[in-house]
Amino acid sequence: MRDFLPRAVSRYRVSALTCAVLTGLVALGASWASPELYYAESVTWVSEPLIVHWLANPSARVPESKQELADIQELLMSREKLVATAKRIGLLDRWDEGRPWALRTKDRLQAAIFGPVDDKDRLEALVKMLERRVFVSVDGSKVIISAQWGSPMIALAIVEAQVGALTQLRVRREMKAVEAQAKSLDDQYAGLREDMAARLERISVAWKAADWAVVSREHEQLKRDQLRSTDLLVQAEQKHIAAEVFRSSNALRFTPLRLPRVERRPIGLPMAARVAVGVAASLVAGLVCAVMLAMVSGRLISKGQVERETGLPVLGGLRLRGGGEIVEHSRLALLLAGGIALTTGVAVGFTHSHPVFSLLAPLLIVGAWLLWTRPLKWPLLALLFVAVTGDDPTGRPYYRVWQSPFWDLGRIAFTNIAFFTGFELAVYGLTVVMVIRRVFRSARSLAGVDPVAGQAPRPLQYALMVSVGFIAWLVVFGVLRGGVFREALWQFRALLLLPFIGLLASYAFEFPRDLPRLLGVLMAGSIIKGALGSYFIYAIASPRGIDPPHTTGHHDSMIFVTAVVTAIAMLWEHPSSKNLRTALLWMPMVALGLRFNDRRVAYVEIAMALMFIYALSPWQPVKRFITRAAVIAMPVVLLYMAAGWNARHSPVFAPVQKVRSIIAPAQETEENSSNVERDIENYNIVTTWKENMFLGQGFGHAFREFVPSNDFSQSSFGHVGHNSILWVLWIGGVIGFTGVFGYIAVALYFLGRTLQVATDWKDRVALLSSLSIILTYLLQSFGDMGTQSVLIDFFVGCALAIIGRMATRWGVWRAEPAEQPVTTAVLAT
Amino acid sequence: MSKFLLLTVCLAMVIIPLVAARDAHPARGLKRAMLGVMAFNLFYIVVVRVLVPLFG
Repeated sequence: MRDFLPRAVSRYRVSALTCAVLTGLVALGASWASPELYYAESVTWVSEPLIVHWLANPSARVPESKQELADIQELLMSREKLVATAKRIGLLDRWDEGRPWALRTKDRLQAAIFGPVDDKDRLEALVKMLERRVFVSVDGSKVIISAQWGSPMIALAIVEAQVGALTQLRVRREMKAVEAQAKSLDDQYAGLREDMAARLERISVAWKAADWAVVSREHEQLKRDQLRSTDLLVQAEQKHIAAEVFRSSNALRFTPLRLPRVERRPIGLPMAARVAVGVAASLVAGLVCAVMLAMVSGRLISKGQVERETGLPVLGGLRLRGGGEIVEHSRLALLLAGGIALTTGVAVGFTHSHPVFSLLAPLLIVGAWLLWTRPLKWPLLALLFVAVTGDDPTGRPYYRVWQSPFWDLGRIAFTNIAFFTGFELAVYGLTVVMVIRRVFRSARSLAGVDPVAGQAPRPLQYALMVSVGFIAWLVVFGVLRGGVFREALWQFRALLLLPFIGLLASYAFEFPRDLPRLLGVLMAGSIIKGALGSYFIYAIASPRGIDPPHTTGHHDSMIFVTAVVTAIAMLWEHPSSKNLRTALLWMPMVALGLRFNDRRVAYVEIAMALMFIYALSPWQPVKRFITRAAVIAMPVVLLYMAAGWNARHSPVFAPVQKVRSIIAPAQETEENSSNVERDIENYNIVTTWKENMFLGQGFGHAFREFVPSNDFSQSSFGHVGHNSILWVLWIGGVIGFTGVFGYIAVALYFLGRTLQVATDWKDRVALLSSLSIILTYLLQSFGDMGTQSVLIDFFVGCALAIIGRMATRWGVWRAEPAEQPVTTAVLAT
Repeated sequence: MSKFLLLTVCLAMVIIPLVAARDAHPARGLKRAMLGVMAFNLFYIVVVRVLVPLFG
């Protein structure tokens, strides 16, 4: 492809130049129409003048600035404060100041058509703008206030107003409270003095009447009142002093480290750099335009293309005099060129030549083109890699003490951006691409891009679609029964993603060809997660004296369990020196990751997967050896277990204690407490489910708390159960549960059939790993919200694709499997 | 014990299709797998209503 780029530029030079010029013009126009922003900032040091407090009132408590600093951001950015700021600097009257011509024109048009804008609406718009463009941050004792505005003077005025508000915060809040307390004490004191005067009067009357009993009683009471009045007087005086100290010390609390000031130049690059970036972006747009036109045209313009098409080497070329540009552009090509120019120009103009955003637009177009013309397995593999390596913020990775380098990637992928998570946007977007490709592209053209042949058997595809249908039905059913859609959305979104990933993976991957790629992602992910977990423990947590209950996220167990089972399955199916070497190199890091992930359920999942692998495998030499070894070792193991059952702190019996913590944890241990909480929650879910065991409740509801549980808040107050299996049974009833999870039964049926006929050890390892993934999914769902994890969705989706594709490859859905040898390993042994 | 009884629904979803996969005819096997899973899920109501309180 060395000569493709120069030839494309040469052939489409006029179009490329036009595109570049158009980009520049659009950029100029957009830049002119969009506002320039000016930056103003101030830094203030906040510290309590202790000496003033000690001198004024040595016995009084010195107020702390810490809590005030923690609340400053919220207080200064409150709506009330922003409205006050807008009014103080007269923003309403300065509406047009710094406003670009395009927005002013829009205002005039709006006023001409709909009438002048109401001041209330305008103030509302200004407050929203202030919320976006005023920034308050606290760094230790420093308060940094900054603002970005279209007019430098207004930006400065906003910062000054906010600094003023900062200095008055405590005066307004705390001093008023102290003064109110002082006044209340004064009032109490005055009331008590009046009571005492009346009491003296009564004593005088009783004395004259020689009523000594009354005299004695009133005298005693008077003495008590005297003590109380002195106390009140002291308290009131202290409050008055405190108020005065607040007033006099407040001015000393704030030290301006940087007085409010505004940058002379607008935010962004200097003018010369802007022009340079604009020119560069225009040239890139022209280049991209030429490449895209060359690709869309379908003509062979480079040596490499000719060699790839013909399969023959090009030995020489003939240069013709006057060879010029091919100008017969299709409408699509012209649309593409215009689109590139427009989007790049707008991006350059509106961001005032931001280097990244300026180049992002043409690159995005190239990305979209590649997505359309290249196999879907690549974006899917990339998503799988992000799922495996990124930190899922919802799974409390690294105990929320540390953020790994993959934190931001994970945040974009796992949490909401534009109403959906990054994964949801990507998966549903790829599904749309898949559907459009299948509908609009010819079978021949499609076969050149995606592996259309050898798709998963129809029953598995239908089962996945039925699952989507049942989830949709349960949403409608639940909302019609009074469920809350917003809650339903959080309940079903991860559950819904899985069938889509399964369908996508089944369509996009071709097995066994893509197995090494999936294995590569799994290896890379498990090693990265293991290394990050170790780094966190040894470099972050231990030096700080933190003993976190887990390191990586809750659902990362899926990565480690699959890695362990895959490595064992490789040795089990093909005990070669190469596989042994791979396992020995891979396992230490995975074992570390598993240890630091510290999830008891992970060990159960590994044990369960190995049991099933053992049961499903034919009697091969390794199985015979292990069976004999197990029978011989059984008495020793039982003795070891019995000896270590109550030895809670002995390192020798640590494995026994781990087993015990899963089967029957000792009283007063963390594990037992956790088990009890889960049992209570299971009881609550099952008891709520009994209300409608066939049809369930539908999404959007919460199960009831028949027995109070400490974990009720963790389950979003009954909306999401830790035991996802019982939870789905409660939501969908037996019918809904069968429909939602039916594809698991169908997939395992095909897995069972394929394992009987598959003889290639790599295929068998892939199938056994898939079995392990599905078992892990079910156990993780039974134990701890397995249906709520997108990472698990990706694993199960890929497992379903492997099972489906392998079933087709080994012909198990055909009535007469003929393509592959049917001599099963079972029969062979 | 009650936890194991509750877990049977997962085990059934795995074991029944794997056993049904031994059927000589693919379509018949699939039908048996699905009917088996459905039947067990219905039986699970009995497990939850009767057996879990009994043995739990």
